[in-house]
Amino acid sequence: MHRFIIRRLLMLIPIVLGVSLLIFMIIDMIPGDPGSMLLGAGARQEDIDMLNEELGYNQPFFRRYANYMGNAIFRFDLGRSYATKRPVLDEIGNRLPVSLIVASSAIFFSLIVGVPIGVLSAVKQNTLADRIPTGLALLLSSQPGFLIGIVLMLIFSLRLNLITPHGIANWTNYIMPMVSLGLPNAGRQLRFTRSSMLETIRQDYVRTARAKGATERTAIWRHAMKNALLPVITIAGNNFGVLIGGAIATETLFGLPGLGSFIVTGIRSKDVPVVTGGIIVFAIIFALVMLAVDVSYAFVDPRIRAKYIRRKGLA
Amino acid sequence: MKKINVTVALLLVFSMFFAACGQDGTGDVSSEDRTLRLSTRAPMTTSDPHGTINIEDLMVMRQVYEPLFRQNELTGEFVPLVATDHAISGDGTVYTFTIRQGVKFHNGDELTAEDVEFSLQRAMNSPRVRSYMAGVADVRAEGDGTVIVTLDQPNAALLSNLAFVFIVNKREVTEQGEEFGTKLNLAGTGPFRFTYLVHDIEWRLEAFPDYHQGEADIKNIHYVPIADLAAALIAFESGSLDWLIAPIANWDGLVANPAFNTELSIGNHISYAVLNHLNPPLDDINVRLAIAHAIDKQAMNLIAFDGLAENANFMVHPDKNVGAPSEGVTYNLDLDKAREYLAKSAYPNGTHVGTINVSAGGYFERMAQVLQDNLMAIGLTSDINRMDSASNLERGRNQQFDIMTTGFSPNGDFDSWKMYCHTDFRGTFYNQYEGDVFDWEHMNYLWAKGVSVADVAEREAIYRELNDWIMGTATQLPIFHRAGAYVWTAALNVPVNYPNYPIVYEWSWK
Repeated sequence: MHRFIIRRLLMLIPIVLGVSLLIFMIIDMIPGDPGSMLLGAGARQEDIDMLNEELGYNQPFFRRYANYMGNAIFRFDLGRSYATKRPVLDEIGNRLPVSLIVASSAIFFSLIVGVPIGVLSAVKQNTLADRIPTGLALLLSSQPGFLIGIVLMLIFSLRLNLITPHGIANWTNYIMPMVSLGLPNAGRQLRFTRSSMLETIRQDYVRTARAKGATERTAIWRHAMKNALLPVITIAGNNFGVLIGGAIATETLFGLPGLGSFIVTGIRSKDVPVVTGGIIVFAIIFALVMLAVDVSYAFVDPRIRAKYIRRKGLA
Repeated sequence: MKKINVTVALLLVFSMFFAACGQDGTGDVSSEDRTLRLSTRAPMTTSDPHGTINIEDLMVMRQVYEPLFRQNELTGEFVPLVATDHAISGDGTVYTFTIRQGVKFHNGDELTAEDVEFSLQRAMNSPRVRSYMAGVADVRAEGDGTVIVTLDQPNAALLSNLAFVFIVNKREVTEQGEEFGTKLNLAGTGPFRFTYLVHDIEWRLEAFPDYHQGEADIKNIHYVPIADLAAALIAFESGSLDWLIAPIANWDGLVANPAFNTELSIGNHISYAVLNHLNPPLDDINVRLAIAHAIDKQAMNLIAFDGLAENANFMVHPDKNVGAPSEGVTYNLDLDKAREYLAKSAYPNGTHVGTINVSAGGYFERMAQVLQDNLMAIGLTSDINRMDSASNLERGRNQQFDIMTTGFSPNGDFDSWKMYCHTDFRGTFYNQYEGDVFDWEHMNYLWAKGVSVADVAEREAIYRELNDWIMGTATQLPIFHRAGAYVWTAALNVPVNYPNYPIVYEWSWK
């Protein structure tokens, strides 16, 4: 297991190098330059040139990339934003916790809502207890998060005056973003859990458990549930990674200073250090989440755990 | 028993939740301590007033820092701030500014002429704001109370430009060095000073007790960034904000609500169509003139701005900008004339005029839709290409467009339109006048002549000729001056709303 984790962590090095080079190239290919983006339509060419020079953007592509990666690797410095002149690492440090809280709370919400109802729906297949939740799940998973967000704002901020609709002043500010991102995900989790559970409860070992006298609750929650969870965990991990950098509309709506809006603003102003730094951090987090998902398989599924133990024994 | 425990636990959780919820209550707070809550559309990028031209940043900067003079956005008059007076030499190349005595910076230092000299020189070297210092050859402090600005050549727009150059404390800026702008500073002389600054999240200001015009009535300001207009409106209506530039679509509902104060104000901004005269069939002047007479400004105003904007005959609003003419060549809806011009063109039976490029999401997109419909009325077809604003800007500069619907804000002087016309400015590449088609050297000459004359009436005469020259090309077609829809809470007294930059110092609690 340790060897597996170390190998996966080492894989981060080529991932970071590849991602950074790709992003550098893509940003370079976008028409325009940071000087003209920052100075606007009426800027004089000499001012644009002066600003590009000040930002180091006039240097050749590979020199800029080598400088950037040299600083990133040896000094742990992701450069300074062209627009704000602040260190990108500091900016990410301010924003990452917000994105982590929003993404993890939304995933947690989707799991505690989607998984139990999905299990119930599978166990009570083709009854009202199945049809109502699956219908609702279809409805929820087809709604964009920002739309749910606006509805929540209208109800809880405007009508009931309970929650401040913007900012991160206290923990209640995270409730509406959590629900607006969590509800569509809960719908998807419900459907995944249901289909995975339906497949699992028909397996021989569940039938055997029942035949050996296990109660229905034990057969479902102890024997079937653990195996049915594997695809659910995979989807939850994927969704978590996506929400870290991809909840842009929700961040914008609720005025949350998250990683997604940070990267998008950087792309619009051709702020190379912001975009590259933001995406490197995003890629590392995504890779770590996927690693955690893979490792969690071993805890959930005894067959996978046994494989690791057998390999260790063989070694 | 178990059920009772669960019920008690749930009640406890809900009571904690509701205790933690709720708005920033202000009902029982005395007006002396009440915090004014404002929002901006984007986070503040910097606290360095020489490091930004971003309008959202400047909305905050204007409360904290001061230029020598502020130009009243509604009347065009100059209001003395750091300077009390100025004198211009006979040849118009030397400006002598008298510096106000007894002005203190937020850090307690007294303002000196050296600070002014330092600030203006710093602006000259900052690529972000040095365009405001165009033509300035030298800045020199003379004694404690005078600063002399020497120009290469006369520049009648200098005062309007200097209204965007803020004075900062030399010691504070020097001490913070490279970090200046990335953190809180006390380098301003304005009525409010920074007390808390977390970029991207919130920034707080408090009234500066030693402000040279007297302490502000509003004691505290709390800014938060809310990018989404609908979210900002919900925040205002739910009591989280005290003042807002509201979405036009909600204007009638806001006016009808007795709990709010409202004001509609025509801004110093022009929304217009650009025709690329280099691309056929728009290289034919008769096609361009046909389009100019086919545009239904009122329909665009209705569709894009609910009819609340002011239809425009001139690119630069005559009442809000020094030197802007109020007479000259104009175009208005006249389909017969449009068809006449088209009949005279190489395309009498109509043609495809190409693509209307537009930034997605805003009202420019709705203008483009109406324009497409207007063109159809005289037999011209077109496509609309929606894109993000950065791509649209770049395509415009690189001549990768046929027609654009866009806008710009003059800075209080007719000369600011120069950025979109004069061949020295990259912005001119929306319309690349340089070449064989137009007598662009004459246009450049008129720009130079207009700014070299101090007398306003004389400037207006020159600018009328210039305006007619540019309008005669039918390449930039003014549509409307947009309106600002201001709404604020009943407890707040706002005597006047300026189009771009609110002056909170003039506000008070009732």
